Amino acid sequence: MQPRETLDAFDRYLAGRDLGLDAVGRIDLLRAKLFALCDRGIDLGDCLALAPTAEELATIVPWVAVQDINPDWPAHVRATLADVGRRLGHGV
Amino acid sequence: MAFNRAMVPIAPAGPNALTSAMVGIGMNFAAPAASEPNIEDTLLFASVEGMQNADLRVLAVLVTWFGIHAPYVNADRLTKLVAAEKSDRVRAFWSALARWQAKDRRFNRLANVHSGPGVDLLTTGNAFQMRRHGEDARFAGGPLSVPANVLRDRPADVLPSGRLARRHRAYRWRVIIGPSYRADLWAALEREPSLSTAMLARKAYGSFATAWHVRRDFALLADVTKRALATKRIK
Repeated sequence: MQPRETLDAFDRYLAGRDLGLDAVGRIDLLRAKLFALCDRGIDLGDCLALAPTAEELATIVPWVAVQDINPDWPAHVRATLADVGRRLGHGV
Repeated sequence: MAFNRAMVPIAPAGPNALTSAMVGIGMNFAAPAASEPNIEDTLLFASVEGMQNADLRVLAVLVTWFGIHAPYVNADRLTKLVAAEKSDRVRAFWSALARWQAKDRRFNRLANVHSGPGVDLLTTGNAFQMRRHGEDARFAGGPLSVPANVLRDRPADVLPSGRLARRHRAYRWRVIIGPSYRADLWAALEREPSLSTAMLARKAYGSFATAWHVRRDFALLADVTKRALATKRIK
């Protein structure tokens, strides 16, 4: 079964009689990894491997930008995700 | 006639080969270990992966490895390799590690392979992380600015010296006779006694003259061992 691209939802990979297997959708996975990149700075390789599109980055920036109350956080998020976009050739 | 050492290392064929080489020198990644890879070659390529390709997990383990095993690194060869490296970021990294290990005077020249302005480990967000977490004490005052939260330091990620000495012949000889070309030449000959002098020098990056002396001494000891065994049998 191919994963659906959903917001705030899980993808159901397996629905057995006694066992179900859910996984986060692509957008939520990107949110988690891009937040981690901004927060701790070590996830660049994973983020590049996930290769978010320019549209996905644009969707995610506003969400990540409000996940921390540090006044410098929003600018840091925009700079970090712009760097990811540049590395992926999105010309952000 | 002067005999130059062959210095230029051959890059591992792809990331899997590099990972295996790193495991081979005692870095605990989930991969099969390469058989006794050259230590300085592996250190250089790991640093390129970390600094140029932003693989900070590799860099974290590499820094921990250096903190434990620096006394057994061939400082002369590492310095020559790093000095020939084009990337300013890689040179800044090694200069910073050499300053961290300044009490070992063999690394004095390595500390000077980078000159010019300081380098940020993170290409974006470095200043933000520094304000938030402070500076990694291992890099304090050096040419590389590293936030404290970025390169985790877990000794369990690296084999201790005793275990690495059991696994890696050249490392073991470095423990016995010091981290020199001679130790690597001896290990290479022990592994492959039929090597010609020229081949031995190439394999272990030693000079022809040192390789010639090591072959002579190796043969001498082999002869002594044979005689001792023969005497034992007669008695």
